[in-house]
Amino acid sequence: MPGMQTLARVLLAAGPADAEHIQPVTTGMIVKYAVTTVVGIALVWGVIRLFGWIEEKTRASFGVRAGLIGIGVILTAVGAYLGLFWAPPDRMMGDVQRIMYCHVPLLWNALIALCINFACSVLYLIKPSWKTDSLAEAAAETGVVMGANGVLLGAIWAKPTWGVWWTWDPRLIAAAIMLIAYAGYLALRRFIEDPDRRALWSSVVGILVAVDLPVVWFAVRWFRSIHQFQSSPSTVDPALRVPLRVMAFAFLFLLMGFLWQRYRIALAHRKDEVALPDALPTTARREVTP
Amino acid sequence: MHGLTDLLPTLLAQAANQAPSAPLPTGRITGGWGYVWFSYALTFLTLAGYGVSLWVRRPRPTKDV
Repeated sequence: MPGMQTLARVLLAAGPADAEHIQPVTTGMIVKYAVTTVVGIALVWGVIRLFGWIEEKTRASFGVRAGLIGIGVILTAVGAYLGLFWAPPDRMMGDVQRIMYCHVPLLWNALIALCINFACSVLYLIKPSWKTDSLAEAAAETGVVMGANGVLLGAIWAKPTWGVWWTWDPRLIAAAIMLIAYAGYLALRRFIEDPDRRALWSSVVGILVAVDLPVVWFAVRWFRSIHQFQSSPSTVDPALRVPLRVMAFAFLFLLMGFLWQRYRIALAHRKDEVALPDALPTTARREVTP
Repeated sequence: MHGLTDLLPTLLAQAANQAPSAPLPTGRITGGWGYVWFSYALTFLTLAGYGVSLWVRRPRPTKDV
């Protein structure tokens, strides 16, 4: 859609990306991302059901969570060794490029967590449930922790390579907006005492702030950016790919362990809140599936 | 006076030829391990700290008062 590209050009004084790097927005692309979104939401629904089944029907919950975090820690140690000592230095950036093995996986996993938040927000509006609301809260918090860490590492990497800690680049602006928006989402959840109203409002906000997620991903292609484009396996040397993949899976396991543990905390809070009906407004109370 | 104006460019040219030529920059960043160590330490501390905070906040069975 040429209109999208024109809008992108007007929005930022940074100007458009070079013509050969502009990713054309086609109908096929929109259909692909729409299908991916629906499948992603269905997957999250399945994960919630799986969490619930393991929690209620088995005694393996603690073991599974500890196992996920344990695998994450071991893979992190292996990935750090590979990234720091095994992988060769980059041809131009030298050793500071090794920051990539933490920076990129952190932001990949932050985006996964925030997409889970979006899926939960949609699911809550379709079928209200404390489990969905709890997972949305868990995903937002974990996503903000990993995202903030990743952006900080980006600033540290920028100093020796770009000469500045921060610059008003489209990708960096989109990432900063993402962190501020989700910090606001978490603050909103703290301000509202009624769990029903909190879940409903935060679901709406969760959908609104998710608009920034594709902008973060595509900013390097839509706008002229100092940040590099997404690499693909065909453009990266295998020696650099191995530590990147190990760290990506390491942080994915940590993310799953953290998400699950944070989900249990949030769900326990919901159960405590709804167990005290006198302390809560009665007007907004309605039946939600536990 | 005319001789001096002729001499000055000649002297400058000689000085330029005799000056040791500075090596051309390669464009490759060298060093920077401090940034790398700090980044990895920050990542591990953040993730470990968040893990500890989740353990501290873990749900516990409520005690009847």
